[in-house]
Amino acid sequence: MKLLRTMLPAGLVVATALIAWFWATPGVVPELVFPSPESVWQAIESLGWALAWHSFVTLVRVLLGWALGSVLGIGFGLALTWSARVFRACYPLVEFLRPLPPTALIPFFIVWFGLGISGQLVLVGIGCFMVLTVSTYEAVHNTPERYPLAAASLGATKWAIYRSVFFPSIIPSLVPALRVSAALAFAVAVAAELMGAQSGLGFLMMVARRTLHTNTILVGIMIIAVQSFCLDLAIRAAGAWGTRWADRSRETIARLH
Amino acid sequence: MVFRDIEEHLDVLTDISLEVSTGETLVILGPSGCGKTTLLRILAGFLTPSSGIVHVAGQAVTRPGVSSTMVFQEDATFPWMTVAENVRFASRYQAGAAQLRSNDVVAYLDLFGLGDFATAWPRTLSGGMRKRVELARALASRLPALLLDEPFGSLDVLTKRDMQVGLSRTLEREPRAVVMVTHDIDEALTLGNRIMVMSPRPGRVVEEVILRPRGGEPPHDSSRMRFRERILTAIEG
Repeated sequence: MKLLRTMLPAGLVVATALIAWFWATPGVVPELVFPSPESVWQAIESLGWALAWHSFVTLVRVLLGWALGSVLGIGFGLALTWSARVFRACYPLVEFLRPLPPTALIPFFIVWFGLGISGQLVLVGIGCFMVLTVSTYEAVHNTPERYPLAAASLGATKWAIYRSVFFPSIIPSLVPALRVSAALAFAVAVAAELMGAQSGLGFLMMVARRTLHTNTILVGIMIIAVQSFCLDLAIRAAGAWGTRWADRSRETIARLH
Repeated sequence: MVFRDIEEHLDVLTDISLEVSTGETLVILGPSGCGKTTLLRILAGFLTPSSGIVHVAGQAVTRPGVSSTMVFQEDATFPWMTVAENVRFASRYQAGAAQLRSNDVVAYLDLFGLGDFATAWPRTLSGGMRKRVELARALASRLPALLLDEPFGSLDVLTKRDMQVGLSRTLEREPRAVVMVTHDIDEALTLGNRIMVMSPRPGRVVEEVILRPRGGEPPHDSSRMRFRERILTAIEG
């Protein structure tokens, strides 16, 4: 019953959108502007296993780049707080590079790494790295002073304080950062595939664009949305488990009138 | 002992000398900003005095957590650890000390009436219960000195009274050398064996009141009033 109540609003919105889609295409809205459900289904059937392969390639690029960039970003963010020397040496560069959109680097990466997977992984990784570096740095600094002091007063060394205090205390701040970086990873991976790749959903959509197969483009968009949604769901589930100790302020807010 | 804030060019503490024995509680009272917490942080090893030295159990204090542990005014239970994990943390980084077994953890929790809450997350406990977890954790460290920085400052009157009684009883069973900072004269009279009154900055000792011998009862009404007057006079200068 609770599940039904939770799912009902979203179900109604999705159902309304689907009804509008079935109703408006292809009669009201031309096929080229927005493909009909039948034409999308035809695109899925005609692509067959190729669609599964391209989807798999994109997902692997996203997951690897996101995981690599996030882990390194968290590590680098912790290193910035660990040592004032590392901070003074590296943080200005981080602040300078952070606003740059990773997609602006695509032409360089094609020249440096070619059209293979390594360049795309690095590109996706860089985007996630920046998000996680800044989030980790800020989260450590926002940890209340009393926790590391209490740990130190019980004999914990600096390394132990990072492991037992800072790392768990920043998890609630890292979960939203990981969600943002996952969405960014999809955006960067697909953009990289659009501009220079021989596989992946972005490549598939680029070929379809040239031949004006908007139904294939829509299939690509829908698969990216589903993959992104599933990854976000997985991060949220893992985050809920990892922060099961934290205050449930969202539940409290939901009870407010 | 002297402590000078180099950045602010301020003398914070001057001519401080104190000694506390095991089983004794020394309470430090004084106006806000007189350096009580600074003194406690020096004793804990978080700050180094500009001149002078701190010894605990014959060893000079060079870093925190080696010979003394501190309980803070704010809630410092680790919210990402269960109650039992919080207490077990006390022995995890004590060099040479045996790790607490589950029985030991439960025994320390039982001292504070928390035996049934071993697997609870701190967020599910009241403020008073979380403070008891911190005290259990501090005692479980088995360090010889216990430093309390207004530990009951944020609790309501009834909870505070229960906590004071509970702490007194527990310290009778698990004696430590205790230094406690508080603003509350009644709390000082209830828990202290001696009271040290400090002057406004730069903090120095202006009065020392001996209340009772180790293991003795807290002063009763008439002598309590007398001590109270003496302390108030010293604080007001």
